[in-house]
Amino acid sequence: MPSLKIENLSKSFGGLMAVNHVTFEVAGGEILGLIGPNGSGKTTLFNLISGFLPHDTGSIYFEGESLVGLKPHQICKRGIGRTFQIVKPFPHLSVMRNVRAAVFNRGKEIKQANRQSESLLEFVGLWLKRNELAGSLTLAERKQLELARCLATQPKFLLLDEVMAGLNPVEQKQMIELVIKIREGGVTIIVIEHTMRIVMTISDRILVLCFGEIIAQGGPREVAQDPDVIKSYLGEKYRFV
Amino acid sequence: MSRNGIPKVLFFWFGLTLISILLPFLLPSYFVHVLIMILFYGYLGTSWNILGGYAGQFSFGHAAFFGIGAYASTLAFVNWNISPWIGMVLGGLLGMLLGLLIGSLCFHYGLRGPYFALATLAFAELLRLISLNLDVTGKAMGILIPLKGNAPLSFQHESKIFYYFVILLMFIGVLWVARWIDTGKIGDYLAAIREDEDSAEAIGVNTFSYKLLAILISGFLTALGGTFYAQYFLYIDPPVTFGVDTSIEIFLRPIVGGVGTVYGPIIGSFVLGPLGEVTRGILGGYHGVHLMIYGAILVGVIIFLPNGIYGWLSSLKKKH
Amino acid sequence: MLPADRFGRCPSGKIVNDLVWLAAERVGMDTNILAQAIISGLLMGGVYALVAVSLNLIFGVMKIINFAHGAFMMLGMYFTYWVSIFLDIHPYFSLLISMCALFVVGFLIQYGLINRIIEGPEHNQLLLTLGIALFLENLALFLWSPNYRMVQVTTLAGAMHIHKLMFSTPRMIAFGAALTMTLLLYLFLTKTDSGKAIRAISQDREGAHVIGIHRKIIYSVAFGIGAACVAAAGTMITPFFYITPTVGMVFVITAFVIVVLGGLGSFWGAFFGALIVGIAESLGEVLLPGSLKQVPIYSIFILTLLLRPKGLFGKKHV
Repeated sequence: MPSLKIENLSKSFGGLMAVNHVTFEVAGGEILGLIGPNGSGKTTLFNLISGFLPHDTGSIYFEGESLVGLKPHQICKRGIGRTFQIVKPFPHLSVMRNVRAAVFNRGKEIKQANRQSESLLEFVGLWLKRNELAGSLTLAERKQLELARCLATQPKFLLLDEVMAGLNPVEQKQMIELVIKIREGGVTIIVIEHTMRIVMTISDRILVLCFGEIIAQGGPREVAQDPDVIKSYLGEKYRFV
Repeated sequence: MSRNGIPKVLFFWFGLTLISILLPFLLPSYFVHVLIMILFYGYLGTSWNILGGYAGQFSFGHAAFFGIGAYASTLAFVNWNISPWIGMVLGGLLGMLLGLLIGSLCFHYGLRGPYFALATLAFAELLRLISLNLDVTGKAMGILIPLKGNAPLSFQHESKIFYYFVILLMFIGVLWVARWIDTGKIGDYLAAIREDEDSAEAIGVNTFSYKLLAILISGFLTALGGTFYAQYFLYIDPPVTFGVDTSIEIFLRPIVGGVGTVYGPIIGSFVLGPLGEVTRGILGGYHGVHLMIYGAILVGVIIFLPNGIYGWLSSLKKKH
Repeated sequence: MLPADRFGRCPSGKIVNDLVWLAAERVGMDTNILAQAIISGLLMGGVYALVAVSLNLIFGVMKIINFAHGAFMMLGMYFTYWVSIFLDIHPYFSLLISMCALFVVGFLIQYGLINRIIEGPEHNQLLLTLGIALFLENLALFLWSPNYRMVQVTTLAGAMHIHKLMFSTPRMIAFGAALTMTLLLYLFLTKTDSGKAIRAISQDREGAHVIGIHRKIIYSVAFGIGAACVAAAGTMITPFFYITPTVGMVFVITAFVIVVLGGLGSFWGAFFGALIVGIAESLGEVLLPGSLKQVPIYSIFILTLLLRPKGLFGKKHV
């Protein structure tokens, strides 16, 4: 049984079809790359899955159960976590408290929550900054924090929205390692990215979205050589070696 | 640590407790009154802070809860001879119901920030207008609570010292509630909602439920304060219970002292209380003149001390 | 009284007449009273329009909910009062002076105070203008006492009587002046360069992270204009409205209701919303006892906030 099953999902904003009858599945434990030009509906798709936007038509099934009509916090409790394209930490709270608030999703006890928060911070590499205010972190650190917060809710499925954007190559490498480690822990991931090199490297399969429609899906090589994809997104010069 | 092993902090708390207990017996009546008012607004401010500071939902209409508490206990006493102590709890429950009504409506429709503030103001004004026009609430003349002399069981006493200890205990109680909320899951969840509601939802916080919880608690506690007011001044009328000025006096202390902190409201109260009295003494006359100074202070605090006095003191401490 | 009696041969007049007749019968009241209520409501609505439209300008340009708007109106009224007494002139003649004075006050407040926190959280701006309102209202209380004052006018007073309906002259003049000002403001915003500059700045908020001096001055001018307009409204109503320090409060809350109802950011929404609210309030006064006339207004306010926060004509998303 696929982890996530999307059938005929559509969403329009005042006549403009942001997501147009999208159908696809995600298998448990795989990393699915989601690519496409700006405005192709990638983040809208994430918003639909995570409950931040109501859909027009179609269905969303996670582990066999429908997600339609649920509020974001209920979807989080079902086991789907997400990051935001523009990171949204809790700026005036300490890094520790940022994560702990998320840890409380799975338990009430304070001491245990503290311990779990610390180990999560260690996992993403932010333990040293645990008492700093989240607002004072660098962009890379904020992304690590967002990831830590996500993981605190013990997700089975992650929606990562341009988690590499704005990072320098060193930071990107760290983030890639983190994502792979998370997948090794058994989490299924959909990754939205713009940097081709990254997407091709970490994805098991790729989905290409254009104007709200899927124009290609398959393994990285397949997709890179798909004529439609090259025409509308990659450009003639791109070669996957 | 001092030499004989007892931490200095303990001395501080012991001293504070001793002073709090002895003070009303040592001071002249007027000063006891000032202290009562400081604790009273500190109490109300802390209650407001649970919704406004912790959950980040600024209410401009807390007078609605205050007034409902005041009228509930007073009407129960005047009409059915129910002791104001019981009436107080009744009023608290009504305050909670009102919070449920206002909260469900506003939060379900996603009112935030200034729109929520204005909506709460409108609710308070509606209550004021209704109480102004109902015979049962005495219309514009309000209600006089019958004098019972020294009757602690009827929440009345001729000496101010009685009221001092009542409000002191109420304040300590509300402080305890505030601290309990601040540390632990509810505190983290409310803080998350305050900082970024969407993010909070994404990490599993049921923002609607927790905001509702905050307004229920806040409404309950504020209503209790209304009963205290009624029993202390022995007279209530629509403007003083439901009026905008009352709402403003309630949230002014936390904002000046430090929104979202446990001790902010009482610090604000210790600053604004005496200042108000001094202003009234110097400028005299018309009701509300001290609000002129309060307005200026509010402007000053917003511009220069956005984290309130407590926040400013904290940042000073950090520099050392 | 037969419907045909009142408006004579005019066809649209006859339609209005019939509607009024029907409505009055429904409610069970004298058509005269109903018609009178609608007229006074409409006249007052014109004044509300000026207040609302100027409040809307400030919100539209700077996203500031100006609680001090009522205080500005009050200051305009007191200004007019003192000027008309000391110079022994008709209050209408003090219009330009009171507008200029409040323009300066508004400009300085925006430039010196509000600009400092304009980048911060929204609720801070609300609290700041509230603090300013508190200060100004109670300063007036301290300086001039809560005693009601009235400007005495002998010329341009009285009323006209048309078809058994009374049209109070000062109210008609206030209505006319308010409409004229509103129109002038609209033309200023759409036809002049400065007006267009103000509107351009309001469209483009995302760009600047640090606001330059250019933007600061434009904000201050816009705020000053808003203050001047509401002061004008104050001046025009002095012949028939009591002057007291808290007079502005009712107006500012009504203006909020209007602006939210009409749609935050919509000029014409505020305008028509004002006329609607004026009539609603007037009808409420006739139909409901005592001070309950404001209940429908607050109820409309809450309902609008809950159900249609964009208002009837709102463009900007709340």
